[in-house]
Amino acid sequence: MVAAALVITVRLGYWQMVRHDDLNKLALNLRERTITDYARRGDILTGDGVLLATDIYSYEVAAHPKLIDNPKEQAQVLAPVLNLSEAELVQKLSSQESTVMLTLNAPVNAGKELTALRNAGKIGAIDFIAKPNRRYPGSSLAAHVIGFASASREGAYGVEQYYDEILRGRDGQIRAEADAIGDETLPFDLPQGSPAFDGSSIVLTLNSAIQNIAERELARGVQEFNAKSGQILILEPRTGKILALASFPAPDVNAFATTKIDAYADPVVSLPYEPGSVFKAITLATGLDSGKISRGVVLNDPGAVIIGGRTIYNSDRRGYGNVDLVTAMAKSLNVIASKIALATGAKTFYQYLHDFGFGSLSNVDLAGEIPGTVKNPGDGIWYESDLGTNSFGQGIATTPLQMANALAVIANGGNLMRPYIVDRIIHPDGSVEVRSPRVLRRVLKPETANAVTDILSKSILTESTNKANLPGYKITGKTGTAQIPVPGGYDPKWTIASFGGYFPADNPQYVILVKIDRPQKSPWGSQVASPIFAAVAQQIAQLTGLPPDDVRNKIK
Amino acid sequence: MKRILARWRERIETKYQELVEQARARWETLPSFGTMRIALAALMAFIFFALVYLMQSSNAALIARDLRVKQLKIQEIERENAQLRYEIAALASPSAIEQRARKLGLAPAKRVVYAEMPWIQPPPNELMPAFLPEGNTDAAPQVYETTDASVWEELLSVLGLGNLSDYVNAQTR
Repeated sequence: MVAAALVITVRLGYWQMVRHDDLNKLALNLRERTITDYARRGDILTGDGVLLATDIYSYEVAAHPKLIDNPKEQAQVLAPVLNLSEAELVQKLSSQESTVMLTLNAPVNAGKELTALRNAGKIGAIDFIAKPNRRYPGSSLAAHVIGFASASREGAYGVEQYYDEILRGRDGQIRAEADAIGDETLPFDLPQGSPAFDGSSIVLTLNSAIQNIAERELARGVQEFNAKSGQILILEPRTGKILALASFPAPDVNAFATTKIDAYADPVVSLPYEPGSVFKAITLATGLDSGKISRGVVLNDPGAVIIGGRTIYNSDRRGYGNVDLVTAMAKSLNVIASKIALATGAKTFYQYLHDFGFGSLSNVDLAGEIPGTVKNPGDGIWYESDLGTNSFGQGIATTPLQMANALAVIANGGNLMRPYIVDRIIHPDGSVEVRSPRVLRRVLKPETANAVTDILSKSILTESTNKANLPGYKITGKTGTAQIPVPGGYDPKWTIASFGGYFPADNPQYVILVKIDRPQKSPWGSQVASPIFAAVAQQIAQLTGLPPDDVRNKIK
Repeated sequence: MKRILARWRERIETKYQELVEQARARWETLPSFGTMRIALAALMAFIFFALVYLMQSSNAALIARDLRVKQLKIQEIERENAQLRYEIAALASPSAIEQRARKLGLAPAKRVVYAEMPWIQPPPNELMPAFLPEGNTDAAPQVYETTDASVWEELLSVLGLGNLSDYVNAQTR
């Protein structure tokens, strides 16, 4: 008897003292479970408060068929809650597997209903866990700006990728008492571990109404002219804020799993193009600012000019004789643009192009930006003839953002701003980080910017075929009809029709670049892109209550 | 030698017996009921503290459970709130509003008419500061000047609120 008691005592002592830690750990593992406490990914909103991206929750629901005696009855109860058919559920609940997944995507109210059913004893051996999913309420609204967050909650493209670290937050790990199966946490005690830290929310510079106007008019324009695609970019020249960035076709961001991944690449920052005659506005600005030509200069256009052994013609192959700068811009004369570049000189001309931001990243806060290509004298691939072709936007690769930002330099009195799309970041603790406009450098003298604005405004008024004019408002801008480079030369059939401009000319508020790729009905920027510019500008004026010039002048 | 050792042993044993007798005598002089009382008090104290501990720990467990239930409920409500926010945002997105407006027969304005209202002259820099050149946006007066107050005078008199200047003074006082 004593010996038996001694053995038991020794054994108990061994378990309680020697093996205490091991056994305790084993016991904890049996009754406790570590679960991921998912951090909420930050919202993305427009500047006027429209929600573009947010996290919603759905439930993953699993069953343990071997512990279920009445699969039919359970299926009957579960079917309406999980939005699954009874037959499918019966099949899954009768499985020979120890665990089967019933659904990965039960609606958010399923949690409450399943809990009630379990408490009522109507279901058993069913586990469910809530998981956040990224959703985009506007579907394709600003799709290219937003990008998407994948099922693994990693940001891809756009703001989702660029600000992934800020949006993502940090998942936590919590330990809690679980049931016998080990999947359901029981409220016996407060959970231990590291809590999740939610991500910060981001407020964009976009205005939802302006974005909607841009997207609607772009879609209408692309369809009307049977074009392949198109982009519209609207900037606030004084600050560099991107007010709208639209690309067509735009993917439905909620359907990222079934959409081709390259559909999300934003052509406005990722796809270079040869801008064509819109670039003449830049060439004009370099000539005037460098002092190599004056505002009142008259230049001779014989219809062709030879630069570096290459003959450059006007697009209509005609010569216009002595022309002033307004006529040169209205007729979009390649010969005059080449002569201005020649007068400016290669070194100065290319220095200006770099100052305007061509050939380098604008450092906009969007993923996937590329710098474009500007050849430079002395780099081995530059020829003298490039000076001529580059002057009217050929042989130079730029992104729509660079082009619009360069036009914004003229609209902004000569200052180059850093374009930006995130206005402020709201952290989970309520603190707000506000992004301010940043002047990168002065590119033009204010008087040069005014002179270019004046010339371009007048040139548009003299163009009877240009459909960019907006009744009641003086606008500034330049059309572009660019050839598309292909291996061995230029595509003989397709063009890129564009219009880049701003309004009102006396106090520019909006820089708008419209770019339509491969229009079938007409190849010309003045016929394809200009009316889209006018439609967008008119609606923005109405939306923002921007009075026409005569009304504003009366107020002044 | 043996005799000496035997004597020492005898002495020690005698001394030991004396000490045992003394201790027994002292023990017997102690009040036996007092000993029981101390033991009982100690036991009661032990039970009391054990009960307090049990009550505290079970109370803490209950509160923890309540907290956890509430935490789970809050999480549930937050999840439902996120879903509702999403649904509201989807319904309030510009394209959804535009679709509904078009169904109601509304269309974008084709022409905007600006009417002159000579009786009200709001300071231009207060009306639309964003659209005016820089430098014109400061020193906006707080009160609009009215060139003709008769309409308002009449309205106030109909309402029995006295004359306009009295009303303005009362509001700004």
